[in-house]
Amino acid sequence: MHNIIKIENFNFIRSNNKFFNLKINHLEINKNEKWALLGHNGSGKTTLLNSLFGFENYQGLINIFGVDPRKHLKKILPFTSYVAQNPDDGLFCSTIKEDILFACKNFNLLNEKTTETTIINQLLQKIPKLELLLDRPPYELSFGEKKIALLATALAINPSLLIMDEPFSMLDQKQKNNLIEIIQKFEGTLIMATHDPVAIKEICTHSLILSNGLVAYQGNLDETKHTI
Amino acid sequence: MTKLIIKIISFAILIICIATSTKVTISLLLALTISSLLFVLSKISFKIFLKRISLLIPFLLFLLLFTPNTFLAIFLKSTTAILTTAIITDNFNITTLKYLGQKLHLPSYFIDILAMTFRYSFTLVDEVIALKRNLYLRGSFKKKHLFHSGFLGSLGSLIGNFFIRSNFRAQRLYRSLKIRGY
Repeated sequence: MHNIIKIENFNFIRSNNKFFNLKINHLEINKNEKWALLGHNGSGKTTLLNSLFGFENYQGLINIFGVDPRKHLKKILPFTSYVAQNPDDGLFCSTIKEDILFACKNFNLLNEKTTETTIINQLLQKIPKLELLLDRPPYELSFGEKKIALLATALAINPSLLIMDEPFSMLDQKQKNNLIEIIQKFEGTLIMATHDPVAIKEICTHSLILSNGLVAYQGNLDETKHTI
Repeated sequence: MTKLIIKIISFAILIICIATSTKVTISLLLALTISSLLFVLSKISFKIFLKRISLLIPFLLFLLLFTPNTFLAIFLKSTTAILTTAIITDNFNITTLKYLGQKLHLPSYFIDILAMTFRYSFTLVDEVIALKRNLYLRGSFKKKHLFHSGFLGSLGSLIGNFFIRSNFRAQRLYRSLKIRGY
């Protein structure tokens, strides 16, 4: 399948704010493309990301892997990972290791070939210094460590589609660079809501710019690079 | 292992103490004696007990004034509860909680809920501290007497905001769990 995400006539009106209306007429995101979702605060980036999982009440059509997430969310979840803006929302187990293996167990990804050790070892190769976090409880970690740990939990299932909401917010430059390096190694399709111009230039190939509830630009990043 | 056994016994005493009627003073006295012994065995600082019981003293005085008949029983119950919870929560982590739950053959969903409550209590405490700091920095809580309208207003917005934020966090947590196949 070439299209990973297809959006047609998307229309969302916030129930508690009738003035907020987000519209996307047509959007196609293809395999292995890296999309930056850009826009001012409150422009609807998180709303759009939530809609991709069918969590918002919208009109129109969203298809992920050819499936409507509102009807068949369970079918797309084993191939899709989400990195929340606030890492505390996504780290709920006793230790980071348990958090990493949480989705793998739920999606029955563990078998004789793919054991807990192989998953952890694969992640250790992708994420530097992850071994220092594995046995620690989430509430003991710093904010930057939590962000790295949350990304590890997302990459554990080896997703085809990775959706990230402001992954670089509240990080210092060193931690941002670490995170950029890790995300650069990701080979699947990526959608990332962010305000970080360095990260966009280093990681993304396409951009979707939201402004006043409409799509101001969608397409190849090269054409907008000079404006970022 | 000994500490774990002490925790399990304390947990059992806490449940019995809560369930026992205020009329059975001898049983409550026995529960207090055992929990005091366990407290000493756990080698927990006595300051922790004093700090916690000091919060309870105004309520106990209130009871002594208005319902002197039940004062003794409630005093025994509350002191036992403070001692046992101090023992249970001393050096406690989610792993111990899960282990305890499994040993007591609690249903797995119940253990998960307990573990998440424990995990997010830290986050919620952080939220309350951050909210309180922000309110304080913007001039709230300066008048510290209870019936001052500014104080009550600040307290109201603290509690209100806390509940709203907890609700939003619960929603985001639910979505995260759902996305990861729970």
